[in-house]
Amino acid sequence: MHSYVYRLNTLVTFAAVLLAVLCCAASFLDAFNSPSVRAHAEVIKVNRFRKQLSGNDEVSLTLNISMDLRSLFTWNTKQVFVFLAAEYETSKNSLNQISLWDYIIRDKDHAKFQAQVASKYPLIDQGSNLRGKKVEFVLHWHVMPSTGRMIVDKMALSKFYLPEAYT
Amino acid sequence: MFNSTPSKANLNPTRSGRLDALRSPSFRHCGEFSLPAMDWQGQKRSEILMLISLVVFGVVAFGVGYAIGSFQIMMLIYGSGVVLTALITVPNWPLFNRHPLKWLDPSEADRHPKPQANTATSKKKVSKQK
Repeated sequence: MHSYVYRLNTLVTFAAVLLAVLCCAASFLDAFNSPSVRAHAEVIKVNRFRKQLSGNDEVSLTLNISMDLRSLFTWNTKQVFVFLAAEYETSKNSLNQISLWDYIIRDKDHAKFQAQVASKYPLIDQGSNLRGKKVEFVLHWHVMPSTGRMIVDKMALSKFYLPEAYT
Repeated sequence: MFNSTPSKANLNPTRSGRLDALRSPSFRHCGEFSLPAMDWQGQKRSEILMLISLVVFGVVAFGVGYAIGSFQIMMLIYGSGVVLTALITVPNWPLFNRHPLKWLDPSEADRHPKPQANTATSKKKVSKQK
């Protein structure tokens, strides 16, 4: 510690170590947050249901989505990425998950809302299995913290039966 | 570390006393024209002060940030705490130099010449100034 360079080095190193400890502590406290999420999604209209030239089915829906994700936000949360997935089963794949709509929520004030949205991304099947198919809507969310690990969770919402014939 | 009583005469016996301090190793980086920048007591105090200050600022930052619920506030308090600690402990403040080492005068050193190096050299013990 005989010169200012030596002391500066010690200070910077120790400050960096303490910063790592602070971030670990902040992330660790996140584990004690037990959130309660409420959400609801229903199909208002099937906009389009056709068979593409490639032989795959394509569906486009209009949905009414409402959700309350405020309990997911802690002091260590930077943003929450939420998307609505349609899940169904076919003979070829035991589970198909297609994201229909997603959104980034940046703070707690915007975490509760209701919206009527046309699906951002079309539901395209691998094959031609969608006529009369039972589709389940599942809401997935990724809680992205300022420091620490990301928390991934989901919640099943409702079921929907696609029409028997192309529109 | 020095193994013998420091003596200005060893550095350059022909020059005057004060300038010789500029050649001591702990003084190379300083620009002041005075004796070495921080004495042993001051270095110890500075280091302890640095550690305690950083830990206290860390704890306070975490507590306030958690209570308010703002991650930014925690980072702000901690960052300013680090800067403040750096300003207090890193530069060679005179308050850390209250117990300066008494360097041997050149005239005094001349009267007690170093023993000639034999096959067995005896090292003088370090005498700490209280």
